[in-house]
Amino acid sequence: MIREGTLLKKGAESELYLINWYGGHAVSKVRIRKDYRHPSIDVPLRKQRTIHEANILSQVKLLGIKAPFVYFLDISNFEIIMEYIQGKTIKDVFSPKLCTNVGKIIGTLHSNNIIHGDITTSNFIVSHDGVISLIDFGLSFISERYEDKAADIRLFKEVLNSINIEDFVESFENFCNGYNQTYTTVSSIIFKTVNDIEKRGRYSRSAL
Amino acid sequence: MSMLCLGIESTAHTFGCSVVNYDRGNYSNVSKDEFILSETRDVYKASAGWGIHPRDASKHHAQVATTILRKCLKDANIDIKNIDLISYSAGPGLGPCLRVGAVVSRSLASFYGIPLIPVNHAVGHIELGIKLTNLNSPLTLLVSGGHTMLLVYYRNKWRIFGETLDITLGQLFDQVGRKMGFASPCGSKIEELSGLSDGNSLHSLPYIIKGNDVSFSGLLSSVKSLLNDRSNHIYDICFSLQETAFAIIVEAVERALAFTGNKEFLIVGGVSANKRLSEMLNLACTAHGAVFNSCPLRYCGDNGAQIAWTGSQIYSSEQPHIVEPENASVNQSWRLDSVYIPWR
Repeated sequence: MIREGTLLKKGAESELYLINWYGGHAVSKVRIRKDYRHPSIDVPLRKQRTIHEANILSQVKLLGIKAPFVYFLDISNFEIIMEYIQGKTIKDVFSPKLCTNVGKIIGTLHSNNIIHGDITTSNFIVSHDGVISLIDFGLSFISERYEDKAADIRLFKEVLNSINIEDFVESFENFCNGYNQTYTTVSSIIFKTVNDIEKRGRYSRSAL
Repeated sequence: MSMLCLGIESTAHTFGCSVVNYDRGNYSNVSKDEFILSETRDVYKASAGWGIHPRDASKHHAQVATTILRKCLKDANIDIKNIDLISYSAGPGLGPCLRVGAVVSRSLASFYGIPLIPVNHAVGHIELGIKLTNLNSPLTLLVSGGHTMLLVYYRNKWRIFGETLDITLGQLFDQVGRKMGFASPCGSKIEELSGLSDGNSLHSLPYIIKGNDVSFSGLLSSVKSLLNDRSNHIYDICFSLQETAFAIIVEAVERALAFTGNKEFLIVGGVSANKRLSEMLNLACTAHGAVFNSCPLRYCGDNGAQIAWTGSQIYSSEQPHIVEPENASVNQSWRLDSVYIPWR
């Protein structure tokens, strides 16, 4: 069992601590100051991202997606206190099969116009009972645009292609299948937009 | 035994030649850049307020080619007949410019019967940077006029972890600089002007990061409209531009460091000359327990040594990709992640 007060994860923009919250476990996510960033950029950015994240965390619960419950929000401290979800990230226990469920989750989000903004394999937690939870909504936002949904998918595709190359084709196919199941109406247009975005990449004409 | 390679670079504004001694770079304890026997270049200068005109630049390259090549061989104290290998930058870049380098190398190769190897310009940047900083396989940020990419090496390829979705950091700075009436490259001018700001008047500008990818086109439009308003101080605009654009790219780097756990970081490309960017990256690396490395200033811009060093690595690998002079073509849009790296 992890002790309270332990640093669970040091992410790129925040630190996650396991804390005691009224007798139970909770996670405190604090957005840390970035010394490299000018304060006029840093402070509003951290504030805005903290509020956004708490907001969207509450919204996704209504869609039936497993994500941490928000217990408390301390904006002056750029801190969210939320539910502690035990398990391993799909980065650690990766298998192409898991991608079907990832696709389903993202499809549900997108059909409700929520863009996660950071779909990487380290932001999905598999619990002991096999249920997948989605975490880290720090870069999330609301949008109806196919472009934004496609950009979201493109990131996941990029991650699969740079980390899990052997299983890339199978994994991405599974992801698309899952996505199709929960976002049936326009998924083909979105996948086409993913290709369009890739073609916009610099010097990518040669890859066609 | 020593293998001598002549590298010819002509992707954009620089025409450069260099001779490297591959074996000296590899086996002996020779430090740093002593394996580079000579490195000569001449840079095309755009007129004020303008960028590189491809035809003009290629004309420049054709005019300086023989002088640069002669000086390069003379500096290295080597006769062309003793060269074992010629490599040239075959892309990505401006077609007319690339063709000048290709024509020069093709002619030399067929006249003297020397093997010829095409090299990807971006790979050249990375490989020479790694060689000069003595790293293994760092998380690499390539920032120049033609590239803004975060790269991770895995299984014989440089994989793109994140990149710009529209314009590059170099382009952003050049376009802003040109609007102010400078000739590109404008990076150093903007850095200079930014230093005159009191550091307190920061304009709020779009801060766009999408996952690991960055976008600067909206930032460019906003800065342009700030420049249109004469009541804004030009140095505050430059300061805001630098702070915002660099914060975006450093955040992307930070995310990559956190995700990959890589403890080596390297920045290469023309924009790595900017001191503020280095300072910010250094802070981010320290926070993640990674070591910040920068390609030595003299070699961070385009040069022939990048091409020569990479060419000799290809030549000595198990799959030396030698082309016949008649097949030595160029590819304006040769993407980095499509290049097979057999030697690493």
